[in-house]
Order: sequence, then C-alpha cells, then structure tokens
Amino acid sequence: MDLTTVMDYAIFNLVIIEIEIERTKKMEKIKTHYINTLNSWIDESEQNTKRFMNDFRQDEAEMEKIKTNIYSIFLKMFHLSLNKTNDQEKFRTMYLNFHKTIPKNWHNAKEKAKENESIDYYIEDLKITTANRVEKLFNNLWDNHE
Amino acid sequence: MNNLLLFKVLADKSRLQILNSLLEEPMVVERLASRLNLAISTVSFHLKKLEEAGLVESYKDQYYKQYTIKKALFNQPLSTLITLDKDPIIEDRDAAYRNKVIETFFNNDYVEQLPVQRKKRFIILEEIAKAFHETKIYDETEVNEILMRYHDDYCTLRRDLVDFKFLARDHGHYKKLT
Repeated sequence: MDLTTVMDYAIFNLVIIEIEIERTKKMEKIKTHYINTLNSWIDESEQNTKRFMNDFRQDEAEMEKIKTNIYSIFLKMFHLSLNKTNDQEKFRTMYLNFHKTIPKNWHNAKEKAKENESIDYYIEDLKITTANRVEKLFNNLWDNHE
Repeated sequence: MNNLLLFKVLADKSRLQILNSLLEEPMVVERLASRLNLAISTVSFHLKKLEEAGLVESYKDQYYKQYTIKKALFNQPLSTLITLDKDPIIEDRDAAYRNKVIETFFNNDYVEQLPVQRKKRFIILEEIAKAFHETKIYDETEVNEILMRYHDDYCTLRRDLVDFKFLARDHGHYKKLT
C-alpha cells in the first residue's frame, strides 16, 4: 500500500466518522427536542386537568387526563425504540410503526361509536387527534434535522 | 327521564354555560365554541350529553344544525325533578320497621303505653285510625267509645289523631281524613 492510498483511506475514515458524528448530533437534537416538547405537553395537560377540576369541569379534566396518557404512551415508545436499535432508520421505522398499531383500536372504536351515535365517538376522536399531534411533532423534527 | 343523569349532566360549568347561551337563543356548535372559548369537539361532546339527558334538542336550519333548550323540562319545579322511584328495598325496610313498632306497642289490640317518639306515635295512631270509616261523621262520644278500646287516655288519643291529621274536627264532629 503506497502513501497516497493510506492517506485516501484515512481521509475516507475521517469523513465516515464526521458523518457518524453529524448523525449522532442530529439524533441527539431530535431526542432532546422531542422529549422536552412531550414533557411540556404533559405538564400543560396536567395543569389543565387541575384547573378544570377546580372549575367544576370534570369531563374536560378527564379529556386532559386522556391526552396526558397518550403523550406518556408515545414517550415510552420513543425510549423503547431508542433502546432497541442504534440504527437511525430502523429506529424511525420502529417508532412510527407504533403510531400505526396503537391508534388502530381507537379508529375501530370511533367507527363503532359513530354507528351507535355514542358519546364515545368524541373520546376516541380525541385520542386519535392527540396521537396525530405527537406523530406530526416527530416527523417535523426528523425532517427539519435532515 | 333519568333524574340522576340529569343532575350529573348539569353538574358541569361548561354545560351550564352552554345552557345559559341556549336560553338566550338557539345556536350552532361553532357559535357556542367561539362564544365560550371551547374547542368545537368539546362543545359537541357536551351537547351530546345534554341531548341524552333531555335538556337540549337540535333541528336542521338550512345547512346548519341548531341547538335549543327543551323548554318543557326547564319549566318543571325542582320538587318534580328530584322525585325518585321508590326503592323496593327501602319500602321493605319501612314495612318491617312499622310491623316491629306495632308488635311492640300493641298487646291484643290494646296500647298499654303511647310511644313518645314522634315517628312511632304516628305509626300507632295510623293503625288506630283504621277503626274509623272515611265517609262517616262521628260525634265526640262515638270517637271516645272507639278510642277507649285502644287506650285509657282516650282524650290524648283524640287530640293526637287531630294533630297528626288522621281526623278533622269541626264543632264537636269528627271525620276521618284520607
């Protein structure tokens, strides 16, 4: 192996390392931003729950509790996906798959509630809307850090 | 109409605000939402509950669904709204209590001692009042003769039957009240 080849190989490795560092930085930014945002949404919902309870608005307090639960579920799924793989694309696919599987039952329940003209329609709709908000946050963060 | 459901639905500030708005005039969901600073879905949720409790109803007005209060229900007195169907268990307990009081104070259709407690006294007097016919007018002697069969102190019994509204007195004549 001549000197030029050795140098090329070293430069190539450096580039790979830099790319990896950039990827890690990007992932860290997404991770921090996503976790901070979801935690702030959870805080906000918990405060709203208390506010509504004190204001004799029990049902709206219950709705805020539902939102809190959904934010917590997807925050857990985010951590779970992070712990399962170091590959960013695999992580993304795994996490977004939870956004397909988890709300599936909510969609079915919403359809049934609509057929039966049940009040549960609004509850299932709230769950789906909240999950969509979280998914949109994730996709925005991912796209903006490309 | 389920009264308990009605009060449960009413015990919510947002729903009371919606009802207050609808008392002014019929409104669509969007107007209520902007007026009360609530999400449209939240207002729809509350309206559904109010509809199920029989407090509001909706009708089509061109392309819009207008919500309005059910005036007939709002004009009912509170005493009607708080009336519940008698619980059979409570009725059974009341009957058992009544039988126990009668067994305790009656001895071969005779009352040795009148109960002091008002509720027990009422039961005893109600039982004695059965000896009177609803359509007949009694003079005081006839009343006394009947009451003597139940208790020595027929004067107290007679006065109590009037006080507890089992008998009506009018110029020395008595009539059983139903």
